[in-house]
Formats: sequence, structure tokens, C-alpha cells
Amino acid sequence: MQKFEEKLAVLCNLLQRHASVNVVVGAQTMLASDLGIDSAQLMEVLLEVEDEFDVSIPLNVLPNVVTVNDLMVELDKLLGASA
Amino acid sequence: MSVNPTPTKHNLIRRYADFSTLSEALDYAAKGETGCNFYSGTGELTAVLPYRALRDEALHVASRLNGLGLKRGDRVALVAETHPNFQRVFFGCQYAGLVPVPVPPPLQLGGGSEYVGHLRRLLSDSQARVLIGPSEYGAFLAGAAEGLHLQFIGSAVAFSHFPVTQTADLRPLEADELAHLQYTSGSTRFPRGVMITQRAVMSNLSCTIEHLQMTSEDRAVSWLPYYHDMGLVGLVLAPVVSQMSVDYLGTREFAMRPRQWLVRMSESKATISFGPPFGYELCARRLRKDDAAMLDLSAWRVAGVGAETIRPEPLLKFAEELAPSGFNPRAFLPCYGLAESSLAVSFAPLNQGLRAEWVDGKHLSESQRAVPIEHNQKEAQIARGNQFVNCGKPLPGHQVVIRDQDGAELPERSCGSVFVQGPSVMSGYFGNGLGHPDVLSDDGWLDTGDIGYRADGDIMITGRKKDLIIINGRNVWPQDVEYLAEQQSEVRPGDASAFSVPHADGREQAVVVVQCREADLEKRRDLIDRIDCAIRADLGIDCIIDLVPLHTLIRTSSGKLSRFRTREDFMERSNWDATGARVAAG
Repeated sequence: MQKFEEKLAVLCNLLQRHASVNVVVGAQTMLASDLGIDSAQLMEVLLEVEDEFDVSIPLNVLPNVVTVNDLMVELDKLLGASA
Repeated sequence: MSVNPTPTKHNLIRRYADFSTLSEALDYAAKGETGCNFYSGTGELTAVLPYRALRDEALHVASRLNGLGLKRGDRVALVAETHPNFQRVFFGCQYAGLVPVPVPPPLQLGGGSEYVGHLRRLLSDSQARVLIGPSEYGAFLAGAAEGLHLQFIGSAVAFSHFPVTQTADLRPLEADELAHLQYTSGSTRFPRGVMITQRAVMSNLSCTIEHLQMTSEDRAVSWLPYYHDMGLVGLVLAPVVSQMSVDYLGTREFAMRPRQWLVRMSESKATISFGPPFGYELCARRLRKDDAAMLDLSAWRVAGVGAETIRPEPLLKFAEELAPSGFNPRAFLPCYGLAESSLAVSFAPLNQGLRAEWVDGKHLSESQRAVPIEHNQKEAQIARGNQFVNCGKPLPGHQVVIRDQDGAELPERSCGSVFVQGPSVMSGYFGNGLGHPDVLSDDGWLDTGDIGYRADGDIMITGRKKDLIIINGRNVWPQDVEYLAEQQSEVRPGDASAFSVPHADGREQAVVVVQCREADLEKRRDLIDRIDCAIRADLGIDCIIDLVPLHTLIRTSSGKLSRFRTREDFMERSNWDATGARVAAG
């Protein structure tokens, strides 16, 4: 099984491709404000995240997800649940 | 739970919004087999709610609400998630003589804390006595309601464990009482609850259903949020008062997987759906190569378009991409409306598709006259024209007039403020009216805040007088953008002014002009970044942040900020073309 850090790196890489501003995506990058994309584009990115990790993100976790790390923690819970 | 969705057709004779109240309409719908169906983002049927079951369950909710000892007409705030519990509680209120107040669920990624504040303002403004929402949001709901002394805060499921009182005591809301309190039209900081009576909403629904020429063959699909007037009145209430089956897809599920809208239309052979232009655009943008060939959209006869300025191009692209699916471009039905008039004010004629006209931009800006440019002058149209979509004639029994600044009625093809009068118009804004704009005259004329003109009686909307920014079909109030800028330590209250300008492709671009005395380039950049982050986090939109020296913002003679004139000044300074045709400088 992949380690948390490895999965985080995969997530950062994916988000990096969508960032429209000059930012180095890391664990503390804020999803809604640091990537330079609007809420509609963000939903598109999340769909890609789902495909990449093969999970379905329950939308009610989103209000508490601020940083990339927060998102990875949620993904990890989902991955753990399905493993 | 049934495994099959509710049928499109049944044996009950259709009645079309000829009821005096919503509860009476549900009583009738419950005699048939139609109802609501809920689908997940991946297309699975997750819940089926026939109107028959909805009525039974709503009566149960009503008898429990009765046991809370609330006063008649008290407000029940209800988190408007696309879920059967919304309908259960909404109609429970109808039967119990209480007024439902649909409030939005937390939408923004990471927006939890802003949401608590927003919800709290809605609860205070509506003086809600009860707050019902999904248990997942329990912490937000409790935080928002803290200290407000509500009778009940919790989920519909928890509420179902409350003791039942006798249903015989129920006295449903009557025709002259409110049907619901609609908070679509206000800002998140300064909410405005639109009071809509049963009579008003039924009259709007009756006109709408008649215009759509609905029959027993119709079926609707909707992904629109339940807290928005189009989603609530158009796609939750209209199906009930016409006993029509409807298939729902959650709004966020749609935003993530817009193609599911089309999959649902295709599989259900649905005939009616509505959306803002942005919804169609998003869908077209995310289509995959083989989608069009696999979908069957030939049954889709009403593709309603409204809620924001209608630009023909993205809709035409949608129609073109989906021509192989049998989508008929004549199904497009432009409409004009606002929450303050229940929902709809006018519809274009049925089965005619989009009809737009080009008018001369120079005449329009200099004399506010809409002078058409003929079809054979294509180049002139594009070079110096503005294109407006025809939104048709006012609903029967409703009047629309165009007035100048002094209130005088203007002739055809003159641009001015759009006023509406008729049975669908709201009773007013809820509460003591403090800070609420005075939009309703004593003789019932509603100032819509929109600018437009009439041509052969048809309504064309050209702009807005009211300070409102509409992005991706969502209302964003300049006050909210300004507030976020003013939260920065360098910016004082009154030093920010927000508005929108037309983007190169006709979409709206939000702009906030901020006065600041900071001269250091690095610090200025940092301030811009912080404001940008705050706006993205709180509102989820892209906004141009324009730092200007002190005393740049333009004030009216009474000292109030003039967003309109600051906007004109911004467009001139940045060389922004008024027609939106070209952006010279970013």
C-alpha cells in the first residue's frame, strides 16, 4: 500500500497541472484560493481526483476541506474504508 | 423503497395549478402515481418519493411541528439539499400552517466558517423558530443557531422521533398566507427574504404551466438548487401542482458531472428542463466525443433558459454538439423573471427557440434607443452592435412597463427600468424593512432593478440598474465582495467598490476597486493576493482587484459610493470596451 506522503505527492502533481497561477502546490496549499481557479473549475478537478484515486468523495466533507493536506486526509479515510 | 422510478403517465386526470394552496395541490397529486426521483452523481436511483407517500410523510412532519407549540405563520428554516427530506419538511410546514424558509447548504470548499455566519444571518432575518438540515452539517447548524433560542435544531430524521399530535388539528396555510420565504435575492451579508403568498405562487405556476402547454406526457429533470427560485418554484412546486414526475440530480453532483443531466434526460425520455445559460455551457464543454451519439434527447421539448443574461453563442454550441442526439434547438425557451415576482415574468413563445436581435451600440449608449441592425448587415452587427435575446411577452394578467429615471413611461425601443405588476408579485421583503430597498409602490408596481426595452410588446433585457453581479448563474452581491476587501487591515470601510464588467466573451467579470495609500510595490502585490484569496475562498469567483489612490472612488452628491460611476471610470481607465467585444488591458 502506498504511503500517505506518496499519495500526497500524486495529489499535488495532479493539482499542479490545474493551477492557473504561479504556485508550487504543497500540503498547505489552499484549494479554493491558491490555485487561481473558480468553484466550477474546482469541481472538475475533484472529479479527476476521484478518478485518480478511484474513490467517490462525499460532498458533505467539502466544507471542512481547506488545504491539500485536508483533502488527502479525507481521501485516505475513503481509501482505508474501501481497502 | 420502490426500486422503480415513478411513472410519467398515470390514470389520474391532470389538473394544472387550479388549486388555492400548495397543500391542496399535494392532496390531489397524492391520488395518482407520479412523484419525485433522486439520482446520484453516477446515475443510480437513490430514492423514490411518490406524491402519495410525500403527502403521508408531510402530514407526519406537520403533526410533529404542531407539537412544538409554534405560532401560526412562524418560520421553519430548512437546509435545501436535493433530498426527499426537503419536500417532506417543506410540505409538512404547508400542512402545519408554518412558513418554510429554504436556506442553502454549505457550498464552498472549505467554506464552513463563512457558512455559519451566513446561515446565522438568515436565521436572524427570518426570525426562524426551527432549523432542520442534514445531520452531517450538525455542527454548522448548531453554530449558526447558537443563542437564537430555536425550538428545534437538527435533522429531519431526528425530528421524526418527536411525539405526534392529532392530524385533525392541522390547519394548512391558506391562500392569502405565505407559501414560503425566498432568500435568493439578497446578499449573504444583507439577506432579503421575499414574501410570496400561496395565491402569488399559484398564479405564477398556473401561467407558467399554461405557457408550457403541459400534458400528461411530460416529465421533468432538474439539477437546480432547491433554495433558488427557479429550482424551488419551477422544478419542485410546478411538478406537484401539475402531478408531473420529476427526476432530480444534486446541484454539486451536476457541477462535478454535468453530463449526468443529459444522461438523465435521455434515459427518462424527459420533456422539460430548465437551467441558467452557464449550465448548458458547462455541459457542452464537458461532453466527450461519443456522448452525442449515445444520448437520445429527441423528447426534450422545453429547454428553459434564464436566471442570468442570456447569450446565444454557448446555447447554439450546445445545440450543435447535441444535434446527433436529436436535440431540437427550437426547444430553447428564453425566460425572464426574478424571485420578487415568484419566478417568471415572461416567456418567449414555445417551440421557437432563441430569437435575438442586434441593435446599434452607438444609439444605445447615446440615446438609450434600441435601433435594430438588419440581418443583411452582418458586418455592421458584429462591428458596432449589441445582441439581445427576446424574452417574450409578460404572463397573462401581468403588466410590464419601461420607465425613465423620473418614472415616466417610455415608448417601444427605449431603454429604461423594467417595472412589473400582477398577481405573482411579492408582498414585500420580510422584516422591518431596515436597509431593504424600496422596490414596491403602493399600487403594486415592482421595480425589478433590470434595464430593458420592449419591441412589439416583447421584453429584451439589456442590463441592470441594481448592483448585482451574476457569475455562473449565481447571484453575487457587490456588498459581499467589498466587505471581504475591507477586512484587510490596509483597507477602511467605504474604500472598496465592486461591480461587474462584460468579459470579452460576454460573460460577467467581477471587479473590485480598492483605495489604498500603500506605495510599496511588494506590499501592494501582497494586499492584492490576500483580497484575491479571500474572494475565492468565500465566493468562489475570479475577481479583478484594482488598487487606486485615495479619493478615486466616485461618490454621489449625498456622499454615497456610486458603483455605477466607479465602474464607468474603471472601464475608461483600463480601456475596457463597453460592448465587451475586446479587452485591451488585463
